[in-house]
Amino acid sequence: MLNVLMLGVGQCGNRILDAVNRQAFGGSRLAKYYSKQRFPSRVETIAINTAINDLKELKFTAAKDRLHVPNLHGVGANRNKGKQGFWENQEMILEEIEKRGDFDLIFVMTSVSGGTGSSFSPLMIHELKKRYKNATIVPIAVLPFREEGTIYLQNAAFCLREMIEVEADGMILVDNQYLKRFSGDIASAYDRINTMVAQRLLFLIEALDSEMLSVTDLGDFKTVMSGGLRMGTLGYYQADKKSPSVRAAIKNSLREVGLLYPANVDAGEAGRAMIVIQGSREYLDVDEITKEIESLTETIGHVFKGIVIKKGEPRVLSVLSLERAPGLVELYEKAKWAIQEERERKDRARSELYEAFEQINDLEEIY
Amino acid sequence: MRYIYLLLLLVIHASPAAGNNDDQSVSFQEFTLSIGDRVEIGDYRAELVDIQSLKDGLVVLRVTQGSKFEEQRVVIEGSPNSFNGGAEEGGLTLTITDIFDEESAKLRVEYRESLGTPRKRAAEKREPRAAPNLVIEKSFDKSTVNYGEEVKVTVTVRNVGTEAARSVEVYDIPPLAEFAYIAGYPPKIKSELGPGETDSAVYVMRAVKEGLVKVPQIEVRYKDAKDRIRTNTTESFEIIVAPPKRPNLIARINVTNVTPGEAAPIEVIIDNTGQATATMVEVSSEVKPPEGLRCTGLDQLIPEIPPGSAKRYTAELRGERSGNYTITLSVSYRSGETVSITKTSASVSVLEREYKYLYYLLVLPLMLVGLWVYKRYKEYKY
Ligand SMILES: Nc1nc2c(ncn2[C@@H]2O[C@H](COP(=O)(O)OP(=O)(O)O)[C@@H](O)[C@H]2O)c(=O)[nH]1
Repeated sequence: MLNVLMLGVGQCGNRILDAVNRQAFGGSRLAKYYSKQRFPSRVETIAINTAINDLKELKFTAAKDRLHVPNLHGVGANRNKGKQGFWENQEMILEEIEKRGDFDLIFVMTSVSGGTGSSFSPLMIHELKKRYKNATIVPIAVLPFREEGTIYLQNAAFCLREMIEVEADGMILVDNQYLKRFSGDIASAYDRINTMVAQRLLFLIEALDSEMLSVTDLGDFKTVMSGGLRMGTLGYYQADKKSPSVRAAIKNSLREVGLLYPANVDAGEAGRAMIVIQGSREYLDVDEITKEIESLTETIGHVFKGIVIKKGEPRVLSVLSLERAPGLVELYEKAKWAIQEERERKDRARSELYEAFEQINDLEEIY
Repeated sequence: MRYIYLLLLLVIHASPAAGNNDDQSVSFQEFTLSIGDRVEIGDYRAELVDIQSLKDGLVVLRVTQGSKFEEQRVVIEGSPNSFNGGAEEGGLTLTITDIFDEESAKLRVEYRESLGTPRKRAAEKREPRAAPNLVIEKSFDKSTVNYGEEVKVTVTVRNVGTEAARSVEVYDIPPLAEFAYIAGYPPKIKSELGPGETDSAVYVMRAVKEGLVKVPQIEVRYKDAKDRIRTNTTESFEIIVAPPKRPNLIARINVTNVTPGEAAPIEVIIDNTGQATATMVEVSSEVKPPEGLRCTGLDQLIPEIPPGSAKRYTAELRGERSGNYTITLSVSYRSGETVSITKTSASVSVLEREYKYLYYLLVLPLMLVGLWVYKRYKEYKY
C-alpha cells in the first residue's frame, strides 16, 4: 500500500485538495455527514494557506487537515513576501507534515500565479526532498487565465522556473485558460477543473497501488514524469455503454480535449506516456489494447500500460510527459512582455510624477 | 292370703250350718257392680254407692231391709262387712273383692239360703259421674333457641272435666340449668278452674348454655269436689340450644397502584355474613411503612351493619414516594356485650415514575444521528 501525501497550498491548491476529499467521499455534498472517505491508499491531505478565510471556505477537508500559516500583513500576490512567510514558519509547517508519517508519493497542488501557493510550493518541495529522500514528489501546477493580469503572469513564469530548479520528480500541468471553456462563469469553471484534477489524481493513485494485469508502478510513473521537459499532464476518458470500445477510449484519453494541459500528442509533443486502463474484463481485450499501445509508440517515445479489472465501462487515464510546450513558451513571452510593460508603466508614472514635482521646486509654502 | 282367710272363715261358718237345718245354711254369690247398681235378696238391698278411692281400696256400700234396716258404710277392699248381724244372723256379709275402676267393683254377697236367690238390679238411669279433669301443657315460643336468646314459655291448664277443680297448683320444677329465668317464673295458675275453663301463665327465660336440653314433665295438682287429689302431667320433650347468633364482618379493600403524585380511590367493603347485627363498627387503618403513601378517609365509624348487608365507602390514597406499602384495616364491632375484631390488608405499590421507553427508542437513534452529524460538522468546521 502506498503512503500518499497530498498538499494543497494557496487558495487554488486548497480547493483542489477539497475536491480530492469530496471525491473520496463519493462526490456527494452531504456525504461527509454520514459516509466515510475511501482512498485507494493511505492518503493524508493537508491544506496550507496564509489566508484563513480561504481555509474556512473548504468543506470536505477535516479541520485538523487545515493548516494556517500566520502572516502578519498577508501575501497579496507578492511572492517575495510569501517566501518570507514560508521561511518564518517552515519548521512549524514541516513538523505538521512529518506528524503524518512517511510517504512514498507526495503531490503538491498549487496555482503558480497566486501569492502563497506559488511562493511556498518550490521552497516546500525543496525541503520535502531533503526530508523524504525516497519519496516521489510531484507538483500539480495550475496555470492562470491569461487575462488575469500581469502579476499573475510573471508569478507563473518565475514559479514554474523555480519548480524546475528544485528538481521535483516532474510536474503535472493544469491550465485554467485551456479548461475554462467547459463552463461559463469562473466559479463553476474552478469547480469543474478541480473535480477533474481530483478524479484523475485518485485514479492515478489507485492505478499505482493496485494489482495490475500489466504492471505499472511508482517507478514507471517516475520514469514517465522525468522524461522530456520534466513536465507532463493527465488525460482521461470514460467510455459509455453505447461505445465501450477500449481502443477508442485509449485514443480519446490522449486527445487534446481530454488533457489538463493542451498538448498535441499526434504532433509528437508527448515524450513518454503511461496508460492505465480500467474496466470490466469483457471490455478489456488484451490484444486490442496491445495493438493500440503499439500504435501509440509510433508517436510517443515510450508507453507504459497498466490494466485494472474493475466493474464498469472502460476508463482510461493517460499520464504524459511533454517533449515540447509551445504554450509555455508563449506564456513566458507574454510574461516577459508583461514585466517589461509593467516596468515601463511604472517608470512613466514615476517620471510624470517627478515632472509634476518639478513645478514646485523653487516654491515654498505660504500661510 | 285374702282367699285363704276367706276359706278359713267359710269353714268356720259352714261347719255349724252343716249341723243345723237347711234354712240356716249360708251361701254366697259375686256380682260386678257399677256405681248405683244393687243386689236384691229377700227384702234386703245392697247398693254400690261410690268408689271413694281406687288407690286406697275404699268403697261406699249401703244396705237396706225395707224400712227396718238401713246402713251406709265405707268398706275397705278385701275385708268382709257384716250388715244387720251378718249372714249368720240372717243379715248380709258383704266383701269388695276387687275394684276395677272408679266406676265399678266386684262385690261378694253372703246370705242365708232361706232368703232366696240374690239378683242384680242395674241403676235405673246411669248419670255420668261428675269430676274435674285438668290437662296441662307447656310450650316454647320457638322450636330452636340460640344461645343468649330469650324464650317465652307458656304453661296452659285446661279443665276438660265436668266439675270444678280446686286448689290447682302447677309444679314447673326443677328450674332448668340451661336457662336463666328472667320473669314470670314460677308460673301461677288460678287456684280454681271451672269445667271448660282454661288458664295460662307465661314466663321468660334466656338460654345460657349450648346443647341438648331435656325439658321434663311438669305436674298440675288439684282437688275435686270430694277433696280427692288429682294430678296430671305434661309430656317431656327436648330442645336444642344452638350456638349464639353473631354478626360476622368481612372487610375487603380494593386498591390500584399509583405513581408518585397520583391519587387513586380505595374502595372498602364490609360485609356482614353473620346472623346478627354488628353495631358500633369502627374502622381504623394503618399504612406500613408509614411514610410515602397517604390515605384519607379510611377511618370510619358505622353505627350498625345488619346481617346479610354490606357497607361500602371510598377513601383516597396518594402516592408520595415509590415503594411497596401495606394498608391494614382493623374493624372492631359489637354484638351485645361481645366485641370482635377483624383485620384485612392490601398491598399497594407506588410505582417508579413510568418512562416512555418507546419514545426514547425513537428519539435515541435520532439523537445518535444528530450527535454523529454534529461530530462530523465539528470535524469539518474550521
Ligand atoms: N483551477 C483553479 N484555479 C484556481 C482556483 N482558485 C484560484 N485559481 C487560480 O489560482 C490563481 C490565483 O492563485 P491563488 O491560489 O488564489 O493564490 P494564493 O492563495 O495566494 O496562492 C489564479 O490564476 C486563479 O485562476 C480554483 O479553485 N481552481
